[in-house]
Amino acid sequence: MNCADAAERITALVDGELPPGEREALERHLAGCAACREARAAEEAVAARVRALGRPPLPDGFRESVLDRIRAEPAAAPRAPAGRLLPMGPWLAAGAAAAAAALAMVYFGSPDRAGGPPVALRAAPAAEDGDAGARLVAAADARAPADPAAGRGLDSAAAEESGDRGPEDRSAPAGAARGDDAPEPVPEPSPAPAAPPVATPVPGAEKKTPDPGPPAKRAERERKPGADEDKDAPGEAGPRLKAEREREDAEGREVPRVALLYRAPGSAAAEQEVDRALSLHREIALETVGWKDAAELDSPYGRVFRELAGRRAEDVPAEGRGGGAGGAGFAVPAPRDRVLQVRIRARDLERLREAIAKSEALREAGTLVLTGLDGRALEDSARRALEEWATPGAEARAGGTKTKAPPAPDGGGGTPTPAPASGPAPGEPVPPPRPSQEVVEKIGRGTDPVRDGLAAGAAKSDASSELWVEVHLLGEPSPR
Amino acid sequence: MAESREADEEAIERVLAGDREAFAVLVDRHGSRIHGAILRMVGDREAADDLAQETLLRAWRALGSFRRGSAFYTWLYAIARNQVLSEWRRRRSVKGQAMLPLGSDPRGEEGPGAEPASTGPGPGEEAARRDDARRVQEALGRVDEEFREAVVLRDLDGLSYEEISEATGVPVGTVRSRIHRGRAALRERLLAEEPRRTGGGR
Repeated sequence: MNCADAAERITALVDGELPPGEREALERHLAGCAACREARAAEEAVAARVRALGRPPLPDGFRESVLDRIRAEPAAAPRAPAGRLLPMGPWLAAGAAAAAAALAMVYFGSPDRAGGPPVALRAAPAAEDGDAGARLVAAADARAPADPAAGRGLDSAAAEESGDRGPEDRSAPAGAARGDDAPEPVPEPSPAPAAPPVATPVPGAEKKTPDPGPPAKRAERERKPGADEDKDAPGEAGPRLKAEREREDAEGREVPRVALLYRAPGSAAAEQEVDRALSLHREIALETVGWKDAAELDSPYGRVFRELAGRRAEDVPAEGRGGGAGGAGFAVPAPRDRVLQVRIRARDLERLREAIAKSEALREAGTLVLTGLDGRALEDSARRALEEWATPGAEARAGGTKTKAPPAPDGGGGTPTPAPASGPAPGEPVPPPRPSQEVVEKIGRGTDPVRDGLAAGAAKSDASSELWVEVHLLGEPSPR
Repeated sequence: MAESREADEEAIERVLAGDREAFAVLVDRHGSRIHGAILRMVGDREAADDLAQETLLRAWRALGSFRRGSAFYTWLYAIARNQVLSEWRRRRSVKGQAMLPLGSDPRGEEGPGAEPASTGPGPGEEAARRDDARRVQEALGRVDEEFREAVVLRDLDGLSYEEISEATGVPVGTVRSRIHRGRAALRERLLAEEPRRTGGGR
């Protein structure tokens, strides 16, 4: 890093807004650069002087004057836009009104792996994760679940979705995976490492078309090097992680999980914020397994939210919101779905928590948290809540889109959502259950859920073990 | 932050349910802050009083479109911002210049009763502090508006980059850049007037 690079970063550092990775680099630079240290001191001093301006007291009568004017207003209390007062209205409305509704779901499991591996921080192809998830799910499906309930997590949703694709589809990815070698011995289907499949948007997914395409074709797509892959080489972490997941499943271990959904405020900045959140996790991660950037949402969450966004965007007037000049207040295009899968050490959880807690933006964005230390409970409540909230008619729709899949031990929830193809299912419709009051409550007033959620995750995990962390983001591309 | 947001939302719900008086909670919680931000932005106390009132009134009218789950202050500021931008435009057209330098108003915030000096340091220190505040405010008034806004929101209001981004509609990267440039410009102005005070930034 040179001084030019350092300049604006110093500003961010002074403001506590520099991502951890950059911070370390900058601090190294500062250690050897007196001029930049001086610049930092100067900036701190100026900032302090502005802060010292303080706020003058309000003029006498200010408060009463405002209230009098309000009392004199003709209209009664301002009317809330339709849907606003529904149980989940606030949150949804928020999500919809936001130009970018970015939801991050962080999801923990404690693999309780003794011989912890390795690991280099590594970014996998953007596309991989989705497919990884699909393959994981497929694998899980393919193999007889040891214990259907155990390890059934968010990805069980994915499992269900993948179940929709039918057996051929499931077997394809699994088969492909098996061909590759896994970094370490693992139970059966060891996922494919080397040539990470591209998470090709499955055309049907959005429209809920059941068939993502012929298995062969799909497999081919998956093997094709991704156009939107990350620069980093696909690691073997993915397979190994999946293998770990599967082992957990096989052992019938129940993995504690916490899901957090972030809603980033609507603006071009949302994307950056999301990226920042992700980089945070990547920084801390022992390894990054996968990274998906799908054009369409094919996760259960994703679909629900996309629908919501589309629906609510009409209900929520843009005016008065976020300010005319502001980033919010425009209609919401279909969000993107991105999933990042990383593994961290449990003892780093605190670090992660601190980092997140430090980011006001992330805390602010964390409007929804679903905690279920039992993965299945978590997933169920989340899906139900979301589906119900989607609309009063959710029931019908949900019935059409949800299917019971063969009980899948689902890779221990290794992949919360990335079931690529989700279509209406050939299965029997599952009636959408009501969201638990608790969930509604949390969604309605989640305030610092990130910290809470992480704390819950930490409480449940052994500090010496490693954790599965999955970040699920829903958000549309920034309107840059 | 958690409780404060809940308090805001509770008040908002009450207002939306028809209880106008509940708006007082929001005035109490955010009135001073928004007034302060406006004041630093326009540099004129009288104008700030008016604009802050107008902002709160408009917030009341638009409350139904407030997105719950977002920060009320950020939303409120976005409304205030429109007022401030209009004020800037008005001044430009009237005076043919970007704006009145902050602090040029004799009734500026350092005027009588402006600051709660009662609990502060001794009279001498207090005078020095006011003196510095006047200088900073004057210098701030000569910083470009967009940079000034970023600095005020960050340093005075303590908003995060993301919140500033949301309130002003510019990307976070731009927010950072504006704060950087705003502080640099401010420092330059201050140095120009009082080289020995800010030399070395300490």
